[in-house]
Amino acid sequence: MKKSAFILLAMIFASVSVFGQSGMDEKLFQELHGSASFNVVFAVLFVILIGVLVALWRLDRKADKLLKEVKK
Amino acid sequence: MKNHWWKFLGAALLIFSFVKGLLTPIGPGIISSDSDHASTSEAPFTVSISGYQTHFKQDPAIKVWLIHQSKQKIKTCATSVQVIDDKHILAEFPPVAPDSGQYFHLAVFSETDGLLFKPDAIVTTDTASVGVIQSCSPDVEVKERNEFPFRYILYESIRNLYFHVPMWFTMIALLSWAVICNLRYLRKLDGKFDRMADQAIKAGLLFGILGLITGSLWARVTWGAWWVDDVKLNGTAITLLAYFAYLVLRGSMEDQQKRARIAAIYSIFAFVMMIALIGILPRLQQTDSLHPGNGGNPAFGSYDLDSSMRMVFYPAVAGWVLIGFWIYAIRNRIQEAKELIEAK
Repeated sequence: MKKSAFILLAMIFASVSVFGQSGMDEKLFQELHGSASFNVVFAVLFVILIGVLVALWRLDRKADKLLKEVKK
Repeated sequence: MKNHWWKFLGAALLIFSFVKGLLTPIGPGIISSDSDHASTSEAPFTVSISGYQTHFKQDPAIKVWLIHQSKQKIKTCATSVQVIDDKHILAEFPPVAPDSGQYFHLAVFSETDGLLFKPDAIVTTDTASVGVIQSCSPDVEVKERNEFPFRYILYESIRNLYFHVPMWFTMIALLSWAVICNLRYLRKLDGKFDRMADQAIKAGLLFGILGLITGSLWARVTWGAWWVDDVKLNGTAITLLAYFAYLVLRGSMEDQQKRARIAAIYSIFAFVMMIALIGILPRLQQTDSLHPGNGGNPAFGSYDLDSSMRMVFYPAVAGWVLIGFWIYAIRNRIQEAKELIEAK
């Protein structure tokens, strides 16, 4: 796993130096920027989802406490 | 059912903005533009342009021109454009400027791909005595397209506009509502308004925190750091700290009347400070900010936010504001029930 990651990195750097002379290629651009810039959109959505769920959880706890008090 | 329509509206707007915001493709653009030499003494010079998702081969008449960075009226059209394949073209330019260190934006237009733009693509490297610089005026008709514009650094993360920015709109909407309730409390001294303001601030803070975290993630990918020294970032940090202080202050007082009055005055003060810190200060010309629309930067409104993005951005903001008020309404009702039980 580690080895293949290293080889992949080496290949990316090698291709950077090759394409550096003749302009960047679409495929390489996708590798360098495409996935990173799309992943951050999912990270942002994940954070928002977690935040709203935490708020929901806390509201749930509050309502639960109230119900217990009323039952007493 | 009659009083719940706005919750359904909020949910529908959010679903629309999620689907449209995530599924609309990013349009074609320019990835790189290397000139063999942008030295004006050895003009004409050639620029090799690599496109992203472009279809240069389909279009025989491609127009390429350079726009002077500061004097945008000065445009230089390419004398010849050579199409290599769908992704690559070569453009040959006459002399563009007599001085070195002049920056030029690159514009490419084709019928199939529309207008492609790369800011600060070319810089002249030496001084030369050239004749009259000829300016041209390329007349192109840009059609509306159902795709988001390609921006080199943002790229796919341009979609975060529909998720990060509405957090702040929702926070400001809820905090504004809190101030309205505070003013009504101070006038009528009715505990109802004190409770409403308190719950609106607590719901608003949730969105403030989410806005800060999502902004930090976005900054890491586009600006290269989790936190940068930017007026808007520091302003929001101070604002959130001021509102956290509100929570501490309010929690520390026992007497209800006194607590409500001090909390109302503090909240109004904090709101005014927030408007100054994130609404006015970052927009001044003297300040330097990375955010669009601040510190002399072009706003999203002027050329970054085109109609395909507006169509998703405005529904996203409206949807999140409605959802924010829904959360506030639930909080408020639970708190009201709690106070009624405690009174018995």
